[in-house]
Amino acid sequence: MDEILAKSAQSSAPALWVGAAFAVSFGLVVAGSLGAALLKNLLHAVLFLALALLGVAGLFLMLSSTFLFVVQILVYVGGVVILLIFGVMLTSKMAQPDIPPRNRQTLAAALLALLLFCATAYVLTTHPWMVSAEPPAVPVAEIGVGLLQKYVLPFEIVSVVLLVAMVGAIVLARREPESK
Amino acid sequence: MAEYLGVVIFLALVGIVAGGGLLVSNLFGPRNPTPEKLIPYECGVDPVGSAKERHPVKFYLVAILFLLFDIEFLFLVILAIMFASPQLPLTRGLLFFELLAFLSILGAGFFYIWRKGALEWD
Amino acid sequence: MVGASELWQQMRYLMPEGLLLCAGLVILLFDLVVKKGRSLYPLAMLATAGAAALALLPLESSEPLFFGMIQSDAFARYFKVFSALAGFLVVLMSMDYKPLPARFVGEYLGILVLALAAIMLLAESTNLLMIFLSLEFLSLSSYILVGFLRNDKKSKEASLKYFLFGAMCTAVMLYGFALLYGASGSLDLPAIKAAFANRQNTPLTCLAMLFILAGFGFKVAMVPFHAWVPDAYEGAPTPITAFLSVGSKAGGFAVLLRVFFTVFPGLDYHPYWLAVVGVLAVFTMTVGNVIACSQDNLKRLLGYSSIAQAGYVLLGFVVMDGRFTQPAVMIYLLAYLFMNLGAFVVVIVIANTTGQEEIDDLAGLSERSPLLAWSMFIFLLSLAGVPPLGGWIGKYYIFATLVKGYLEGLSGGNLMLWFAVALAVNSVIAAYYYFRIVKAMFFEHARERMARPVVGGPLLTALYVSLILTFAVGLWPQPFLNWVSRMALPLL
Repeated sequence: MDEILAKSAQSSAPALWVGAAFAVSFGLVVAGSLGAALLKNLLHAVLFLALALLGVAGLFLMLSSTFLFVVQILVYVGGVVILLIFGVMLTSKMAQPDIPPRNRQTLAAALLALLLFCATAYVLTTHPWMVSAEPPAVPVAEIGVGLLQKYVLPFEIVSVVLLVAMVGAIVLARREPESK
Repeated sequence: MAEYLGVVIFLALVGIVAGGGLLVSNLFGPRNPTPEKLIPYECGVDPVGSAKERHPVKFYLVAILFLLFDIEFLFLVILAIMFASPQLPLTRGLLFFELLAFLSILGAGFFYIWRKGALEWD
Repeated sequence: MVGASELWQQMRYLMPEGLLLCAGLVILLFDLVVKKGRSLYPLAMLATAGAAALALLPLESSEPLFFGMIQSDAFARYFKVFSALAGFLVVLMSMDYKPLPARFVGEYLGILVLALAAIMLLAESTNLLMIFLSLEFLSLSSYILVGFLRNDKKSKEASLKYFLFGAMCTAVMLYGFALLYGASGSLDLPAIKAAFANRQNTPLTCLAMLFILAGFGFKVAMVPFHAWVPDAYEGAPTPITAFLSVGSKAGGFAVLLRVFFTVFPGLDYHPYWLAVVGVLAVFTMTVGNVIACSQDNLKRLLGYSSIAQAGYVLLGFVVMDGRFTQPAVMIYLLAYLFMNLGAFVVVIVIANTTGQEEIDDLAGLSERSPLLAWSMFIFLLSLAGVPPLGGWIGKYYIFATLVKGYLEGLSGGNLMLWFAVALAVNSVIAAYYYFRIVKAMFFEHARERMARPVVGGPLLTALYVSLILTFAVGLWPQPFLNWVSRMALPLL
């Protein structure tokens, strides 16, 4: 947050606008995550997750990562959330919205999460970060060059990983043809 | 950031028009409910049951495959934009082989799901 | 401009995993065209054996390859040989594993072979992105392989649990990566090390290390990231259980060694590291051993035993001294590979005979099949760390590492002595449940109508290879030790 605000002080946009945009994105992420974690109706939880993912997209936009912004909306909001909705719709408990998101370990989990949050918050606020004045806006063409040069090995491996994912989807999710 | 102001105004207008339409008709519209009006609208046919029933796993498979092709497509978009830029930093032969490897592995995946019949609905 | 010839030159170092990647694709496609599942086994065996042979070639590069993504050094080569060898044995074990659906043999072998390549890539990654990608590659393949018995509810449950835990731990690990990247501005391990060289032990690096430990700890089944192990091990097809317990675990330890030896030796974090890893290791072995005592299912028991074994290996990390830690960890993993795979071969034979994997199914095995009973006895002795078997050498080196750390006056030496005591106590607990199995095999009588187990050629080969090498590592440890110390990461 400091980083984004510090950046806004130097960029052309008024700090108020940036602050408001950050508040909206941040609010979406927090509200969406809380809804996704706490709501009893699974479908509603998924829709709240979509909100949180939209909020993340907003954060990408504020950091000048326009390409990631598009990817976030296209893949996560448009793909992953749809996948999750189908996933919810094929569960048999769909008609009964009462699936309590809590169990007897709620208190312990909440305490642990709080502890982790405090530790992370402490570290993040005390670490001397190197703050850049302006987030580097990377043109998409440069990402392409990176993919084929510095990141060529991961790029090729990704294609194999996607292939494995496809094969896995067929093996695990495809129903056997009836007549065989 | 300032260049997105138009988008913000647009989004705000969308919200106002959509939400306002609902709000205004809710406030001032006549209300005369009958049982027929309250049932879900399904092209004039009476609903046969709850919409909240289980859906076949086929939808899920389609969604997974959509997602995977979506990601592949994004990689290709990046590369297409890169090719449009005037200066390529790599030799053409190398580019050709890198892309050939990437695309042929993905092509193998496509061939696989095609032969397995996952693209057919039944 | 980067020339093709330069990258082509670098491809030489990727021959083992390149072979496996190609073989995996060929197996997947061959299966579509020819549809003769059984004929793919020789292909997979050829690929894994070939990869092992290629990995044995002394092709090493001390330079980072592919723009700093990987470094194909001796250390990586060790884990390439390891992974290919484990893969070869797992393919042998799969051949006669009955519950495997015949329609999906191509997918099974293809994904297995690709997962082996993922372990190799993981062991040589020197870039956080590459580490993440190969870890996910390995995890994704493992989730699929664990859920391969589609008509078995336990297999599905295992896959789901494994996936949920894995996703969670990977997310935490990724956050750790993000912290490191944010603080150093680079994803390359050497650059990260350089960035931290003059800034000592900051809270940020400690936190990042803990988070990263979550991701790697999940792979090696470290407490508290072990909860997936019993269910995944029980539900998965048994050869895959064996693969998870050696292959995937070795991959986790390889990346753990590389990250913590290349990034963090510049930091003055030693006391912190000692306490955290030591306590986690002691918890890991104690939890694994204590719970294993009450297990009746063989695969669950071996699962808890594998948690405990991960604890022993982790103790080697406490010392964090290159001269001791790496050879100790690497020799332990080598011994563990053979003894654990051997034990799983016996489990497969038993399951093929009785259809179950309970300790009761071993009753009277010494009368029904002396060969199996005695082999299992050897493997269990080795797992328990009884001399002169392979497991003993491993445990001895871990123990010696701790004692050496104490004697050389490394900071926190007294703690090391306590950790050594914990290791000894745990070995005694472990002996209890290993001998429960021995008791069933030798001192209980078979139930009526228990068939004599039939061991086919492939399983027999796997059994003999495991047996011979378990003995070899224990009786003639010197060549193995020399080899392992030659393959260790260069000290900085």
